[in-house]
Amino acid sequence: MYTFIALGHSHIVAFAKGAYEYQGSNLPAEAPRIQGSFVYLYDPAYNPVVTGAADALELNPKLHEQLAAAPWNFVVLVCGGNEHNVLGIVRNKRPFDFVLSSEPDLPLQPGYELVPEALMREVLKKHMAEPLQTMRAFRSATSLPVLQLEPPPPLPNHRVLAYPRELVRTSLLRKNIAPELIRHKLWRLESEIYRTFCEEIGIAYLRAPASMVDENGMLAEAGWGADATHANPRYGLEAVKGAINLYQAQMEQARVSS
Amino acid sequence: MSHPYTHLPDHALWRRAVANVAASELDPVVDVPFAIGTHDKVATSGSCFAQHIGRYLRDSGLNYYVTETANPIAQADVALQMGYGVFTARYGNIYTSRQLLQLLRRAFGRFTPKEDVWVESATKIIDPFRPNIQPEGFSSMLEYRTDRDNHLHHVREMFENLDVLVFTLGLTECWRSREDGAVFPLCPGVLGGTFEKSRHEFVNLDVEDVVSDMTAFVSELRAVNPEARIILTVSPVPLIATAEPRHVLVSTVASKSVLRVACEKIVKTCKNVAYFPSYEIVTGGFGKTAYFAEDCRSVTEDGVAHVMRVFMRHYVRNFAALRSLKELVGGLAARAAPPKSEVEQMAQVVRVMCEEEALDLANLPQGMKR
Repeated sequence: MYTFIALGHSHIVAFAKGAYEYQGSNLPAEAPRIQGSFVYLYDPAYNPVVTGAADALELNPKLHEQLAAAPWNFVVLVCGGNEHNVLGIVRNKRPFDFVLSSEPDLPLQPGYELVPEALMREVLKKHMAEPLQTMRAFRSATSLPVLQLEPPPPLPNHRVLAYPRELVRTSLLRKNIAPELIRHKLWRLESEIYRTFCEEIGIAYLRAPASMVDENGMLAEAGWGADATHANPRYGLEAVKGAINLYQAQMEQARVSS
Repeated sequence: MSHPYTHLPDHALWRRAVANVAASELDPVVDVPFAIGTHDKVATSGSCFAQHIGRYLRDSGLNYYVTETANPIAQADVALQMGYGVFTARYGNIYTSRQLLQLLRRAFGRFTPKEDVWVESATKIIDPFRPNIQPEGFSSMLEYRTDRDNHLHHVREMFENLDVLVFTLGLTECWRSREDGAVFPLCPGVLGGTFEKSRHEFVNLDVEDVVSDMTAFVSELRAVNPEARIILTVSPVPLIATAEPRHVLVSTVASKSVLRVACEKIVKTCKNVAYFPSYEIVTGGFGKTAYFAEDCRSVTEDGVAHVMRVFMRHYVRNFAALRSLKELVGGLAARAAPPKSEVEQMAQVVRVMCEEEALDLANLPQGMKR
């Protein structure tokens, strides 16, 4: 039995539902059982999540209590993850594109303004400041293994446009949606920033399930959630399996090195 | 008995113009050859002190001219950090007269440096002529070339359309390519590239060099923009290091003297080119002012404010009216909610969506510990 506490922003919902599905499924005998607790970080009860200066961050005492509430095996963070959508869903007045240095051969949109990747990175980092700060505070607050989930890939454009009760559609999409490739690049760049940050502060980074990324680098249909930016419980189930595997691998590595 | 000193005005007499004037009121400007109107497009370039001038002009209510702007997705502070809006175009610091002339010639295709890129790695490309513009460099050759061409397009636009250029001369020492004479803002090897004695040489421009560069610059600028007016200043910021075999203080005084004398000569021979004494205001306190910070190099905010106060008083047409208008507009703007950018609107939409998603968390069954 593995016990964990998962804390995060909206993408935690798919993960939580996935954990319930995992628990309720017919697991083979050798599959580990899990017991989890889930905390939504925008819940007013836990705000402000972090206080203090950047070099002396203090986690909300109620979150300390949550961390200490049970003998957890590990902590799962699902911090942020929609920053790429803030920049990418709606095509800007000055449509932009950029060269993603990790996939430099991806084509560019003809006629779009080519902005430096370094600018995009700084713009994203600024939008990601709060989740990054939160992750740092959690890392400092516990000696348990901590995992951060990579944000789900962006949903394909036709899915974003089709969803009927979507607030995005009625408010801003009249201005046209940005090309999928640009939205994919923004997701990759955001993910790279999270991954690098995790490496720096000692958090394991769990990639999005490969089976949930389609051939265009967007969220595969099997993982589409109910709105323009979120994934569903099936995606969450795959992420839960990934988290278990990553934790087990970490334990095995620790055993071998000791 | 009458002689040329008998009826000198106050400004010509040290006791009246400097010794008996409150430090913060020192004003060494007597006359200016032209004024700046509120609609005039004012461009800036120069050494690091010119960044202060740009900053003040941006906030002054004048028409601070920026041709190379960041894409609106960038937050204002990020754009500034990446060099957008610091000067009229994103060229970074232009320390020498030679660099300014070279920029104009590059922008109009009259000069293409042979050493025009420093490849540090596949994902770190440095522009030798803007090595500081992006701390991490450009991430690919395509990005670098596109950005550079776009930059030079905006530089061209600036030279063709500006009404007034404020150029701050900072240094005389520079590093030059032996191959084609291209000058670099920083010595190769400092922030990128590799220093090679066989390819790079040290040059310390003298008065004739600076006068010649600036005269050529004025002439070539007027060829594309006949009405352009120019205000020259000399940066009071001392050299951070000298490549001459002597004390850095001696080199500083030598360089600043060369630049000051060159300005004097240029102003005398070029029409509609003025000299503004920033250097004198900051360094000429003679013990009454302390306009340098603890490092004896950075100019304090008080010093910059003094320089710009004098600048605005003399150069800006209807400065008092402009100031009142700016205060009025500022007051109204402070009372009105600022309009949301597209990105801010989108952030709000995504936030609402995330909150809706999170409502589902409360509806989960009680089968697992919550």
